[in-house]
Amino acid sequence: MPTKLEPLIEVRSRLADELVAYLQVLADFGDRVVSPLLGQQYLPWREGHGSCPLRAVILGDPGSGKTRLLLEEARRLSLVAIDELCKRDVSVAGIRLPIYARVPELGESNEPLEELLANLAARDRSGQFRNLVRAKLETGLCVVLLDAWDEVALPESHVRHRLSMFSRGLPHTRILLASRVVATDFDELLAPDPQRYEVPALTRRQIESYIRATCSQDSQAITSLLEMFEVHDDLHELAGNARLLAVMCNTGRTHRAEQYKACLAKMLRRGHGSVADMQTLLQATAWRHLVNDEAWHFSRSFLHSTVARRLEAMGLNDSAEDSVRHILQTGIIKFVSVHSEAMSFLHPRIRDYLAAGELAKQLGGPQGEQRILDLPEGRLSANELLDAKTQDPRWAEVIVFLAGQLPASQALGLVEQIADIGPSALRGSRDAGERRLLLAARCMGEIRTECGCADDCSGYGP
Amino acid sequence: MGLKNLLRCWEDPSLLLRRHYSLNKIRQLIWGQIVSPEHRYFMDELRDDVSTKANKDVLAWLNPSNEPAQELMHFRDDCHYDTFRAHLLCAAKAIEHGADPGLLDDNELSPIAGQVGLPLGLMRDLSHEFGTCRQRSCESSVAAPIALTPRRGGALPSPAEAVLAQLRFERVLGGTGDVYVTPQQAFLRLSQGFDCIWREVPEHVRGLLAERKEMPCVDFDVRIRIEHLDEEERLINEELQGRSASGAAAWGLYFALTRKVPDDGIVVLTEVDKDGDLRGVDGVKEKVRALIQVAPPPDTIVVATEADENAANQALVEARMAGKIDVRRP
Repeated sequence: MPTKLEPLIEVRSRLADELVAYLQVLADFGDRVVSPLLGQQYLPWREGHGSCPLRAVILGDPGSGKTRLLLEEARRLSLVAIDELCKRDVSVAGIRLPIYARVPELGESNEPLEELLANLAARDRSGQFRNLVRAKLETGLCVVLLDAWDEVALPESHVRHRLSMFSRGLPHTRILLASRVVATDFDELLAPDPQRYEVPALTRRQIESYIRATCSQDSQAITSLLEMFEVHDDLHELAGNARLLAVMCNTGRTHRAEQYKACLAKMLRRGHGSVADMQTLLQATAWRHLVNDEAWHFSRSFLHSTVARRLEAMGLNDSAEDSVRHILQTGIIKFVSVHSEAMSFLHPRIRDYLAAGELAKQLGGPQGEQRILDLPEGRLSANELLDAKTQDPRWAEVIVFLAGQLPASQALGLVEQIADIGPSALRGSRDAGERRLLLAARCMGEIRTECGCADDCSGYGP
Repeated sequence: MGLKNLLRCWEDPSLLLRRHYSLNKIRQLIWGQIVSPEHRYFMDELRDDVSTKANKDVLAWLNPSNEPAQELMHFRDDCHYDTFRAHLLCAAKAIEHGADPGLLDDNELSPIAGQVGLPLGLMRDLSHEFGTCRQRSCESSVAAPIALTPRRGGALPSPAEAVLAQLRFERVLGGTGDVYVTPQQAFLRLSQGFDCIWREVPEHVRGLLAERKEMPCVDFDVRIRIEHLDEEERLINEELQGRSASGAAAWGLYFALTRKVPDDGIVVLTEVDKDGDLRGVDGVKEKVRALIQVAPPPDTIVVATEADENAANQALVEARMAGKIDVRRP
């Protein structure tokens, strides 16, 4: 049967079909990962604040949305390329090709990075497609989106050298690198002249729209979550992290300590070590950091020595260095600058929650409140310590979290102790008494009852 | 011949030709040089006449009583007569126009196109060349590979081999969407089947554009050039025949007229019949065998019929290229 002309011009080459299939996978993958509910959190150059740089480093805390931004960029570029191909505006050779890769997956081989990227992009595809990718890398018709640099950022890493060579060897290829803040000379790594961007925290409006969309079937949950964020500024700050916001919306609870517990559990699962062990090591670090009155930033050696001591106390033979690496993988402790090894907890309240957990364990031990603790200011019982610290603003949140982590009966004892504003407790000032009462009231709000509800504590008003 | 005659031939080489070739053969050789794409002596002489404003000499060729000129213009095929006249009329108009013959407008060229029955785009090219000694420049182009299986007994290889060429569709700015063969190749010997490329195919493609409600670009002309991917010259002196290149022509012309970008690596082995339908072509196996010799080879061969699909696949299997090149039917 004769055929009219239209089907003839619709025929695509095999390579064009392969290219569209590749781009479609990237667009679909980005579509699944990208959450439109979080609103438009575009890369800066998409908002008209300057031209798209050839080299860019996207820095951010774990869960802040670096991967999401890279995948969204990959998806955007893929959709543009598919559209151009389908409309036949650009040839297969002229299409700008996005390549997304997690740096750790590129391996430690000595092969040039361009070969590894071409192999990765052309996995399960034809040699012709691989050649196309290779040619695009050389001609600059590629956008290479590299994720999780922080996981291989060790100074001796082969990848560091290969990435540096790659960047210098292909000056016209766009490279976007996403990483947590780690000590790296990005100017050297991504020469020439990489631009740095930090993933911004989600705005109040984005958080609210996410809650409303996620809990659309449950207006009570929406109201509770919004009230929770209104009351607790620290939770609101944590919700600026996209991953933690999702966790908080999924817990179904509005109890602050429960939210911290859920967030930490989520983050601990991202480390490669035992969750329980890492939690213990983090609690030890937070406690030491608190009682030693350290500056907010601490060194790697501080973390290392704390971990080593606790591992020894736990009777574990694990390598302290491995444990430190596992802790850093969780993102609960982060580097504060790309220029130094200084670290901090992801958020001050996370440090306080972990330190409170350590104290709760001490109080829950055999001698309870009478247990003697070794502190820089001397040996104190837990009770004496609490009595002394009720006036210390650095300890206020720790004590409130402590109430949330103790069994209800023990927590009520703590409240009574704090609320005891007799002459000995007042120690000279009416303001001090008011602060103690206020702290006791806050602790009341944190106490978990049998049913897990903090509100049902009749008879124990402040 | 004798030594005396040998010296005369040395002084006047044409005597040697006359001794060894018939007059008809000599004229064939001369005619070939006059219109060949490489030499274009006819065009050269005309340009001289335009530059010296020798209008009388130009018009003399158009005089039906000028027997030698008429004989030359009708020498090989009557089909070239109009092409000669187009050259002469454009040259005469350029001389008449005076100072800036390269700027002849469509009002002056349209009557000539109507008179000789050739596209206005060709007139634009000719007048531009008379005025500037250069071709109108092309903005961009689309190439459509073709494989031609020659006639038995011709100068070309045996039918077991196909000759590779490509149709190049050049977008020439300053036009109105005319499709025409480049002036250099205006005197190629083309059978009525092959010349459907610019006689019928454009109409079918315009019909397709109308069906698809696509607006063809009309700010340029499309100039078709046949480029050899094989040894030069071999096709030029052969009569190109058959409609097997018409599918590739339709494919390339669609992209040329719409400014869209075709995929690289596609070769169309179909023909377009008078009704604009796709049909199979002869010699598919030979064509495929020739195509896979090219570096890089195509990645997709488009055929119209199941028989052609089978033949193409068989040729690929025999050449151990199965799986590396797709054979697709629209």
